Formats: sequence, C-alpha cells, structure tokens
Amino acid sequence: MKRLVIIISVIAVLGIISPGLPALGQPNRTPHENPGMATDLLDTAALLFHYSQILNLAASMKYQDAGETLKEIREIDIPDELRYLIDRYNDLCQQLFTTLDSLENTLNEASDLIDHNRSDEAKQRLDTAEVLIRDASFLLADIETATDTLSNRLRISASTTENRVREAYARLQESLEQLRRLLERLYNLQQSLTERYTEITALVPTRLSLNIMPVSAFVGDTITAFGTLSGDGTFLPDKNLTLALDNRLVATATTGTNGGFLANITIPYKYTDTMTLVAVYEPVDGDTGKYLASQSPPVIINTMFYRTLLEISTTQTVHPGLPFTISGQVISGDSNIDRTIDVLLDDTRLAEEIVSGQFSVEVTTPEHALPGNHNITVAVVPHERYAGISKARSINISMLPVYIDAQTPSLILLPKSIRIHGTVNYDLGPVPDARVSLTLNNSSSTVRTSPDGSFTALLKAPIDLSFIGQKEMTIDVEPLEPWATNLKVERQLIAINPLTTGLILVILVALTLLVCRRSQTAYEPKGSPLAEIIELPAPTPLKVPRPGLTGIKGRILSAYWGGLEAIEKMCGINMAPHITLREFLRMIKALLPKITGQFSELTTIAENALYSGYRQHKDTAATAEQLAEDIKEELGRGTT
Amino acid sequence: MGLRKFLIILTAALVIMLIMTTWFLPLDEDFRVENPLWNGARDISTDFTAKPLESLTDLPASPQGATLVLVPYLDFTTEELDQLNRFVREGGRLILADDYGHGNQVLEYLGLKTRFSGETLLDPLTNYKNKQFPRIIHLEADPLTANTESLVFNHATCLINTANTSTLASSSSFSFLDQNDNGIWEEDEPVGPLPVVYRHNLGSGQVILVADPSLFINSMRTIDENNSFIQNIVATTTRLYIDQSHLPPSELHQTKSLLAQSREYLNMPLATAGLVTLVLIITLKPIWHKKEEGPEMT
Repeated sequence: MKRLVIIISVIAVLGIISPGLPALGQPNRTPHENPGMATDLLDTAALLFHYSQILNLAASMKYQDAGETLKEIREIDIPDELRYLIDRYNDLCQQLFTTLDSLENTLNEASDLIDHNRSDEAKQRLDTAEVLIRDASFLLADIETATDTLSNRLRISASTTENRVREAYARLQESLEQLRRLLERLYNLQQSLTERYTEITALVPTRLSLNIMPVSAFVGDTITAFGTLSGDGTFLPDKNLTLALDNRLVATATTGTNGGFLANITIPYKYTDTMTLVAVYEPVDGDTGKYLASQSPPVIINTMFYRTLLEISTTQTVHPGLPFTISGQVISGDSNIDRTIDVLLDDTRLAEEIVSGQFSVEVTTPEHALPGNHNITVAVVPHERYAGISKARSINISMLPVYIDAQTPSLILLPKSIRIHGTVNYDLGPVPDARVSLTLNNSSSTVRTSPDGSFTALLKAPIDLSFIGQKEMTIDVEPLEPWATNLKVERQLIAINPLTTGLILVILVALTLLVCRRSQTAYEPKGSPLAEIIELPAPTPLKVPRPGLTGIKGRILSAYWGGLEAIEKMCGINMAPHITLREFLRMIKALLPKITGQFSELTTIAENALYSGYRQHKDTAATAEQLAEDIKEELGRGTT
Repeated sequence: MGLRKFLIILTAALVIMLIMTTWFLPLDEDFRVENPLWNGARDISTDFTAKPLESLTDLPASPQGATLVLVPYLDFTTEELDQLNRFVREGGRLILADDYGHGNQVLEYLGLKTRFSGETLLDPLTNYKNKQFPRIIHLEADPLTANTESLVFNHATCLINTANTSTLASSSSFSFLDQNDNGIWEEDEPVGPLPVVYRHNLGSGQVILVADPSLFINSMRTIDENNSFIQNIVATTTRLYIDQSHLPPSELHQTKSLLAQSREYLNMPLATAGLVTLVLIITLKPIWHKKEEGPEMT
C-alpha cells in the first residue's frame, strides 16, 4: 500500500512541476505583447529630440530631408489637446524649410548670373531673395514662439525631473539657434551679391537679335538661325554665342566682322507643336570686365509631325500560361506605314511586332504571373516624322476554376474499399492529367485524370474505433496547368462498423446481465423478524457440494463447514445458496443463543478468508478450528 | 471499499479527467492555427483557408503559385532547408517572418546576403500605443502593398544587408534599433528608416522577408492595414500554407499531440480489437468471478 501511495505522489509532483520547465528554455526577447492590453504612451523626450534633429537637418541646408522627416511626424498618434499645436508647429517648420530652400536656390542663381555678367536677371533674383529672407525671419520667430508654447503645454521647465526631456528641450533650443545663424549667413550672402551686382552694372550693355528661316519645320528638318550682336552703338565681331532650343544647347556661332551670325539647327525628334529658340552672349576672357551679357528675345518655331492614333481592345480577364489576343488599329497620319509596337504586361515586355493599320497580336500571359489586376500596355514606337503613342488597359489575371463531378457512396460499411468515379472539368473542357487525392481518415489514394478528365480511385476505408457515424472524405484536385486553380471538395459519408457495433452490443448485454444479477441480490430482505423465520415451513435440506479445501483458507473454511453442519443438524435449517454467511448467523442467533458468540467469531473469520485480500495466518486457522470444535462440543452436550 | 480500491478508482478518474481537460482545452501557443486567442493564428487559417503544415515534407510537389508562411522559431535540419530551397527555386513564394528566431539559418542556406538583425526595433513616435508597436509608413508600390498605407508591427526587428530596390517597406525616420536593450536611443544605434519587408527573387520563386511574424497573429490583423497586406498575400497566391513545425511546442501541445497519436494508434485494426477485448474482459470480469466463486461461497 505504501509503495502505491509513494508512486502516485511522485507522479503527481512531476505532473505539477513539469509544465513549468519549458519556461527555462524560452527566448530572452518577447516575440509580442497583447495590443489590446498595451498602454498608450507619448514619448515627449523623443518628440522634442526628433524636432531638434529635423531643425538640424534644415540648418545643414538639407531642406528636402528635413521636410520628408517632418511629414512622418504627422503619422504620430498625438493626444487631441496637443494635436492643433503640433500640426501648426509642423506647418511653420515646413514653410520655413521651403522658404530657406527657395532662398538658397535664388542666391545661387543670382551668384551664377553675376558671374556671367547677366545683370538684369541677377537683379530679379536678388530682389526675390530679399523678400524670402524677410519671410524666413518671420517664420523663425513664429517657430520660436511656438516652441515656448509647446514647452509650456508639455510642462517642461528647469525643474522637470526627467533628464531626457530636459536634455531634448535644450537640444531643440540649440537647433533653433543654428537656424538663426543660418539665416544670418544667407542674409550676409545676399548683401555681398548685391554689392557685386552694383559693380557689374557699370559695364557696357550688349544687345542680341535673332531670326529664323523658315518659321515652320518638320521634326528632323534643318532651319537657319541668324542675327547680330551689338554693344555701345557698334556691332561686336568675333564673339562666341550659344543657341538653345527649349533650354537645350543645339548650336554655337561666332559673330562676323559686321557682328552678324548664322547657324543651322536640326529640329530634334520631339513631338510638340512649338519649340523656343534663344541666342545667348556671355563675355569671356578679357571681355568679362568690359561687356555685360545679353540674351536674344525668344523665337517660336512651329514644329510639325504626323500624329499617331491607337485603338486597342483586349479581353478583361486572362489566365497564367494561356495566350490571349490584343487587337486594334494604328493610324499614322494619312499614310499606312509599318510601325513597331511593344506589348508590355506591367513592366515586362511580352511581344514586339511590326504592324500596319489594323492588327491582331497574340501574346501569352507569363506562367508565373500573379493573380490580380495588372496593366497591359501597347506602345507604338515613334518613327521619324511619326509620333509615338501608348495606351494601357487594366486586365485581370485569374486562375480558371476547376469543377469536379464525383460519385461517392453515402453509406459505407467498415472495413471496405470504396470505388469512386468522377470527372474533372473547367470552362475550357476536361482537365487531363490532374492529380486527384482522396482522403478518408488516415487512408488516402491518389490518381491522375485521363485525357477526358475522368478518374477512378479505390480508397480503402480501414477498421477503426467508430461504430456508426459521419465521416468526411476530402477530394483534392491539383491540375498541372498553371492557369487552373486547385480544388478541394469535402463529402460526408455515413460509416457503419459492424465489428465495433457488435462488440458494443455484447458489452451492453453483459452489463445488463450484471446489473440484473446485482439487483436480484440486493432485493433480499434484511433483518427479517425472527418470528417470520421460525414460522416458515422447514426448508428442504440442500445437498451442497463441498469441494476439498486446502491451505490455510481451506482449513478455515473446513472448520466453518464443520460448525455449520452441526448447527444445521441441530436447527433443522439448511443454509440455502442465496443466504449469506451473516444472514445465516442472524437466523440462528435466537435459536442457539449459547453458541452465538463462537459462531459469530467463526463467521467473521470465514468471511475474511473468503473476501479479504489479506493472507490468513496459521493461528487464525487454528482459532477457527477451535471455535468449530467448541460449537460441536456445545451442541453435542445438548445444553442449547 | 478498501483503501487500495479507492486509490485506484481515484487515480483512474483523475487520469480520465486530465485527458478530457487536455483534449478540450484550447491551445494558447504563439502562432498556432488552433489558437483562437490574441496570440494565435487561427484567423488567417480559417478566413484565408491557409493549410497548416506539421512538416515541411508536406510541401506541394509542384510549388508554382503556392505561398508558404514560415515562422522559424526552431532550428532547421539540412533536409528541411533542402525542401525550402526546392520550394522557392521551383516557383513557390516563401514568406519568412522572423524577429528573434532562426530565419538567418534559412537565408544563409538559400545563399542570400540579407539578414534579420535580431535586435529590437523601437519607434517612440510613429507607433501604435507605444514604441514596441512601430508603425510602418514607408511602403513601396507593389501588389503586396496595394491598398495599404501603413502596417503595425509588434516587438519587431529589422533587416540588414539590403538593397533599396527590393525593399517593400521601411520603418519611420524616428525608429531605431535598440542594440543595448535600454529602450532609448543612443548615439551609435542605427536610426530609421530601416527596412522591414524585403523581396528576393530566387530561381523561379521569391523570398519575402518580414521582420515581425506577429503581423499574422489574431490580434494584430485588425490594426491599421495589416489585414490588407495579408489579403494581398492571399490574392497573389493559389495555395497558402502556414508552417507549424518550427514553433516551440508547449507541454499542452505535446500532450495533445500524444493523445492524438494514441487515438491514431487505437484506430488501427489490431489496437481497436485489443481495446475492445480489454473492455470486454473488464466488463465481464464480475460475471465470470461470480460463476467461478459461486461454489466456494455457498
């Protein structure tokens, strides 16, 4: 018994401790926490710190970067009471960065123009820069005020206990100081450029005229540009000029002795209606300290080309690996010349064809194309006087759905092999060579469809613990074609297991029998009145077989039989098969009071020998034998 | 009733009760498709019919168009790495979602230079609730990020050794990599934008690296546009698999597996017959004993 208790205790202790052991092997970082339970927290120090970083970027003249970073602050979850202030602060910063960026660019342009003696344009830039400096000063002052307000709202003061917040605020103030210094530098630059501008205005102004012949031309054709350069009332010979078409250098020229110049210009293949030509004179070498630069009035060239019209039509839905047709028409001016077209799926070229007029091109969707919406583009490549054009259409790449028609039984007996026939189809017809996998519990079978899409599979349904119930059969279809989807079908079958059903019935019958027998035994009347027992007609003596008994148990029971026989003889009452030892003891208590004590003790010993798991001792057997002898002797004396 | 009998009955009752409890108790393990709680992945499994894989040997023979979501929290064997390599090179798409696991082992085997940093990505400003939930706002135009303006990660990391052209998503400029785990930015710690979703083309397939597997748990799906991102994954695949074989099993999971395995064994014909015989013997034993002991008792 002790051993059993110890074993059970050890198992229980291990069962309690072992679930906690894996905790020792967990990763040292948390993979995630419940977002629903997470606490909201605005990191004030980080906010101020990042504002200081943004302002530092601006102070380093990285206005674009500063602006981009500022945009990200708009994504921050800010408490409502701070939202307006932060938004306004962001707007002010953004405006300041834009202004500083413009100011820097304007000053650079002004410097460049002054370097090339282009006084008029330089003056415009310097005036603009002056306005921008004033705007930037106002904006910076606003930001400083807003910073103070922000610190008040965030309750930042010298007594702020959190070091990080104090440190971040100090950094922000330092960043503002850097911006102030930047603005001062830009102001000084503007002033120095203004001084340089004043110096070059003392130089001799020049004048440049420009004409073209013809005024209209096809792209690819050549036109002639001509004009004169003059200064201080005379034509200027041997001066180099540049000619730019839509701000792109297209030719250079040198003035002749009469200050005139001539240049041939080929119109580039740029399919716009007009182009603008200007001639520019910039003094070089010794002329830089003598003449101002000049630019001719712009001259408009009417460019001509043949427009291309394109019409395309294609199906709305295509499938990976399957070809489809794009049809349409290319109209190239009034003629019907060969044109090259490119067909692209998103950025992938599917085909290149030479077409003329109406066309019909068959292209194949790539097998690996992902399902979803894509763009199909047809581009007509420009060719000399014929402009290019492209048109795009949205197409949907989808997989073709697969259908299965399978004949499955609705009722099966286990164990059994089930034969399943069926056909697999899609909208294009039967699906050949598709892999069809059937699964029922742990049993599975895989076959391939024949060219007509049909299949026959044999599925073994093995015996198991179930007796009657619903089972799920799964049919998976995997077509080989990349354009067809996989299919999974579930069918419910009623399965009857005769073996387990029979066994369950046997168990039920056995249990029923057992219960019946127990209830019969329990029905015996308890503690019947002695009078009723005495008044009963004398029971018929039973010839009860008494097998030969051996061992201690045998000795005890033999002793009991001996005592019992003596009592039966004396009372004339036989112990019937349905009467227990205790019931018999109760029956004879009133009839033989003298031997009640001995027989009671003997009955107890006999019961222990019959029903107790304990091994009986030799002494107990001797006691039983002695008690039986005492009973016999007492009854033999006839004193009862 | 003797004490021995009482103990035996009590133990048997407790064992049966424990088995029943274990069988019906829901799993609470991270990323498990059986887990309906906040940290499970049942939603992705049911809503998008992702097929859970208990072994990489169950990967499809023809992986064209198939997608495997892999959370590598356990070490890989060479055979498993071979299977992943074949899956990708033959046209499958592997979504390797890792933060502090064994993702780098897969990347090394596939011959890719990109790595998971394994250090915590924090964003004190652009976040959901707090810095442990970085909000990913830099998303490149791609079918995977269509209709998605921002993602929210949960205790994430970032990717290193990446090229800008293949980065699909990056953290904000305010994020940083907390290399010394003190929760605040130090001067030498890398700052954002840091790449967190990245695409590698490999053979005929693709490897998509996601620096936080928590994107796929039930409670994170509904935050920001995380669900759009998952929907885009589903929309661009023909079959979706979610690996369960590289998640650390808990005691409960192991016990459930053991019970399921036992049930499978018992379903075998021989075991079924044996069990039924045993039940019959136990049931009929009292009757048998009555008959046998009858003469002795009378």
